[in-house]
Amino acid sequence: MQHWQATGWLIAGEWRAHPVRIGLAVLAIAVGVALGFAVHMVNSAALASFGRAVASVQGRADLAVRARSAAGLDEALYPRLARLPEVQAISPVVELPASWGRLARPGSQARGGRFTLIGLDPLRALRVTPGLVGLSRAGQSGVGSRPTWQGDAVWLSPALQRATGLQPGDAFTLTAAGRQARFTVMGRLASAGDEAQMAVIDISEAQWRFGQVGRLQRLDLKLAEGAGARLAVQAALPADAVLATPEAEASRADALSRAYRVNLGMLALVALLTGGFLVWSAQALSVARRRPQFALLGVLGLPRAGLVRQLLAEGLLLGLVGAALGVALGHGLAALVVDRFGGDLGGGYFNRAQTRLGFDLAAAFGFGALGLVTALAGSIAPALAAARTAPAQALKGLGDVPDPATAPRAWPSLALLAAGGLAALGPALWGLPLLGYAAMALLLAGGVALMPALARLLLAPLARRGSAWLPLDLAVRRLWGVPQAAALALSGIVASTALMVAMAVMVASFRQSVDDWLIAVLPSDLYLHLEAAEAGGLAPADQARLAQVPGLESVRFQRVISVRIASDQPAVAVMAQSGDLTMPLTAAADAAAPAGTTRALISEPLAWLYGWRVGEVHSLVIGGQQRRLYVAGTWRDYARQWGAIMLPLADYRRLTGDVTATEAAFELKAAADAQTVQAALQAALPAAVQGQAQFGRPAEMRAVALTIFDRSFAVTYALEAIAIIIGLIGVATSFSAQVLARMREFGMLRHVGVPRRQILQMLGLEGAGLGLIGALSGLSLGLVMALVLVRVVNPQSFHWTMDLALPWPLLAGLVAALVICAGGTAVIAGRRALGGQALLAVRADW
Amino acid sequence: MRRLLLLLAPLLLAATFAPVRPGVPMRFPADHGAHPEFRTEWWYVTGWLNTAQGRQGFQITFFRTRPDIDTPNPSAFVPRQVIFAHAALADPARGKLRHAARIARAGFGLANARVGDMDVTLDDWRLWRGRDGRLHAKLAGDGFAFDLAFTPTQGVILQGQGGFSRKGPGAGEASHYYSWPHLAVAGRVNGAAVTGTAWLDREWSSTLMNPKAVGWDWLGLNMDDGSAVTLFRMRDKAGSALWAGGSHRSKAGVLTVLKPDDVRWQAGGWWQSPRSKARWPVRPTVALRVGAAWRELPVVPMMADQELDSRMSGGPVYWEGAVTVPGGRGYLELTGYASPLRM
Repeated sequence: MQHWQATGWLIAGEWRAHPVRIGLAVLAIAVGVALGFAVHMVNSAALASFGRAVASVQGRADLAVRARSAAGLDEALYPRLARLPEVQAISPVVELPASWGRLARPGSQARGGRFTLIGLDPLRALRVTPGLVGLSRAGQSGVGSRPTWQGDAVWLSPALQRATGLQPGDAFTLTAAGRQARFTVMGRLASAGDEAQMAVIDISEAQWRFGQVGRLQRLDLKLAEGAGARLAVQAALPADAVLATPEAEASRADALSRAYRVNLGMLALVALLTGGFLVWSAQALSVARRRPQFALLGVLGLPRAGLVRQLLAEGLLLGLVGAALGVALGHGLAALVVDRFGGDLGGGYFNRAQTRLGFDLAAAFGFGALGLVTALAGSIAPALAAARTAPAQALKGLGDVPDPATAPRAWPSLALLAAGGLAALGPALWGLPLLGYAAMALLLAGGVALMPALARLLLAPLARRGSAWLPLDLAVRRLWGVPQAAALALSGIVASTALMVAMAVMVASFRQSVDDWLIAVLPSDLYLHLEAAEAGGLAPADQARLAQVPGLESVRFQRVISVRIASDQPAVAVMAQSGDLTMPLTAAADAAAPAGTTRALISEPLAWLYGWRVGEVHSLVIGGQQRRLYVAGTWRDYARQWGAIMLPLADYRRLTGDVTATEAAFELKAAADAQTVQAALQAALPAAVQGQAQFGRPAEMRAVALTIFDRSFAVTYALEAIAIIIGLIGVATSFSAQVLARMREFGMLRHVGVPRRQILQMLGLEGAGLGLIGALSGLSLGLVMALVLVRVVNPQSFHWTMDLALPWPLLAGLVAALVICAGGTAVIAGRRALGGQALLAVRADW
Repeated sequence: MRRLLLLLAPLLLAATFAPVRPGVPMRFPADHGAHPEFRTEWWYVTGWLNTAQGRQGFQITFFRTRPDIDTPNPSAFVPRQVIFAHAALADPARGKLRHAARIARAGFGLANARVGDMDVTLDDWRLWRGRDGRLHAKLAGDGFAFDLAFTPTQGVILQGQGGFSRKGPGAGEASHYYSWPHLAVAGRVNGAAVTGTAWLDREWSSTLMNPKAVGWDWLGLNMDDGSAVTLFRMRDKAGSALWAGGSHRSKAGVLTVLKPDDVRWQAGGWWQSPRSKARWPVRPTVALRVGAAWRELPVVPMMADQELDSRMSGGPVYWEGAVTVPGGRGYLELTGYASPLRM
């Protein structure tokens, strides 16, 4: 056990002597663990509360039959399903998107909000979804006694009651399907949970007041036991209904944000990987510097295995501290993020659910263990190297200095790079770009491993020619001769630069493409959008009134409705647009639509998710029937990740009989003043939808969209900044360490007459040279990885494409910062090393 | 359970509901069917069964109530009528009731009370009069299934003055009420053949309960000699009778209508429910005066626990149980003991 005591001394001594470097390695692990843990916690909290909100609105029925779109189903399905022997109980439901107050853009002071309006038959719901049945003020169920659920009675979920501040007895005015009605608050849906914003009224009132007579959006079911029951229900469904099992609902909720979550998780792993590199370089340096110590221990009888154990123990300790710190940091970060951005990290996926953060012990251990493994993995190579050293050599300070004549091997790294390239060509697995990420990891590993060979290759011409200027000559020969030492410092630089560049290029490309897209899809002068108007918006009379507002050159109306194509996928947007369907297309068919089909355009995500191709005919259920659509083109769409289909408005109206509109685009006359026209349009809107109407001009809509874009990438930006800072600090510490380790070399140079100034110049050049090699290699590697992100990871995760855009000023700045940082650190460390100790160092040892 | 009706009946006179008036003659089979213009109505079948396991009691009840709604709403979901039903099987071997309840607004062919003859449906529960003149009930709950036919052996009893039955001291407090005792039962319970004797109570009204009333007690007895006894009283908060009444029809078919003074009801045999904590007088002693003679009947329940909690479907907690008296058997109903029967 004695060598454990020695281990303790060694570790304590090392860490006391170099707190910054050790601290940095710990920090790197901590940051990786923290990011991973935080992203995981925020996401699982958001998903859970989103799931709870969905479950509350659905009342936790065994099974639901849902309309494919907000247009609903014929209520005749209700008695038909009710008579199935497999159906034990059934509850018909009208479910409408609704709003109260004035809906406004984020940041405005207007009060109002969206919620789900549920029209229920409480007598039926009691046996299927009792949680949706309201309790009166007295706490009594309204059923059976004088029907308190009749007439203008409304029950609010706790979340909606908090938002509105209404008490029982108060009046509640709400808008749904383009109509407004006033209700009286009867009480609270106590068991509705804290997440869901919803209100419950009687089903007959919901049908009557909101234009849904004869229509249902949903039927909640309680089924008899047995596998045949679902099949029996399925067989009885018309085309415009889908069977929504709890599993399908869960998978739909999961699909909403899955790609986004996985991508952030991957980013966190990348941060952890960077941490691993830092641990490796810190350990490798400290091993190199302590080689005589270890040799002494070896001579004194410490076995090699003991040495490895000791170094692994150091790594373990680093990892433990880093992981613990990381878990704590991660929790704090998650709390901050949920507070500032909401549960979707600003991604906008769960904006209707409130998120509650819990502490996930299993995940904490999982991510902590990941940090630990990273630290150990970073320590194992240096430990084995140290154990291989011959003690007698090392004791003299010679160590196993590599022979400059032996060229570093390049083929393993080239193989890694090639494997990365191949992986990038692979398809998405389980709907996720897992091979894309594997490609990035392989490229990164290959790129870093290639550094010694690459450095030698790049420096070979310079080294062969030599230089008249002594400092440059010395610097080049040193770098050429000991590329492994250079690689230590380089690995950190290359890894962090590559990751930074990849992220920066991806975000810049995305932003540029979104910006171009916004300009292309917003050609009109003024836009009107009705929020929460899924179930219906402007009636034809309202549309005519708007069209007559003075100052308008032309108006195009649009009806947007979401339609479920598959029960386990989020709904797609069906956009029926008047006039010609003009959109900048990425692919188009020349042929005319075949007879009996409707010409339609589809968005890129739709094409990807459902495998529809231009020129094909596919069916879509609208207006209660399967309709055949001819896919005439594909357009790029960043707004609707789950797909969109565009149809001519006239066709939509003919197929569905739905003549309302939810959006409008206005062209103004040349002389017209936009403000005046907007005010006139606002005044021409019916009172019911005044609170839902949002006007926008292209410039400000673009600004808002880009602000939202930047906000949703806030986490990415933060990650980038952290990666940059860690990378730079890593460069600085590894340089100063190397310089200090080379004191004897400087002493010798001074002995042979090299002036101090020239040594400093040499160090500066060496540093800058290393920085330059690292930065340029990192840049190239980063560009390749960016290509993988843009061309593979993004299309596979989000199903949209983008054009590559390179943020040259940012990249140039990054390279310059790295070079300056590396050179400057080397000079500063050199100054300290040359403070008179150098001559002594030589005398003592030789 | 008629008390449920009470629940549904607001205290105010509603102008839109048909009033209960004396002198309206009963017509059959029309009055076996629904009277949707009245606020509330019930079809109440209770009786004793002879089964392979011995004697058991059963209750099958359908209610119709018309919510106080007058709306131009064209929705098919407007609850212009609400149908609900309770069923229970009293098995002494089990010691408490098996029961089930259903409720739905009328419509979509899923819930309906037919006008013109008896046919009340609620999902897969149904009570109807067949062309053969027999009554039929078919329904199933958790752990029990009834498929029964009831063959009349006597005529109906028109309660009160030719079917106009007063329920309280107030002018309008009354119902249209007839009973059909001594129905011969044949059919199946849980698939096993049974026989027995049953009682049908039919009542409809818009204004039933005195504001001071908190509940009522009711007793219907098929006497072994072929006579039939109906007794009821409305109780106030103190437990004394606000009103009482009933009838006696002798084996020879001589009907005696009982006035408040002709009925005595002595609560007794208090049993506390372990579930609702309510206390029920399950062994009352009742007496009725027919002619000049008082006849006392000590009531003994088949088992103490025949409490039925219908709160989950919006109803009250009440006690509806099979009972015997010397020389007869029937059903006893107790309401308003768990909490005042009121909205």
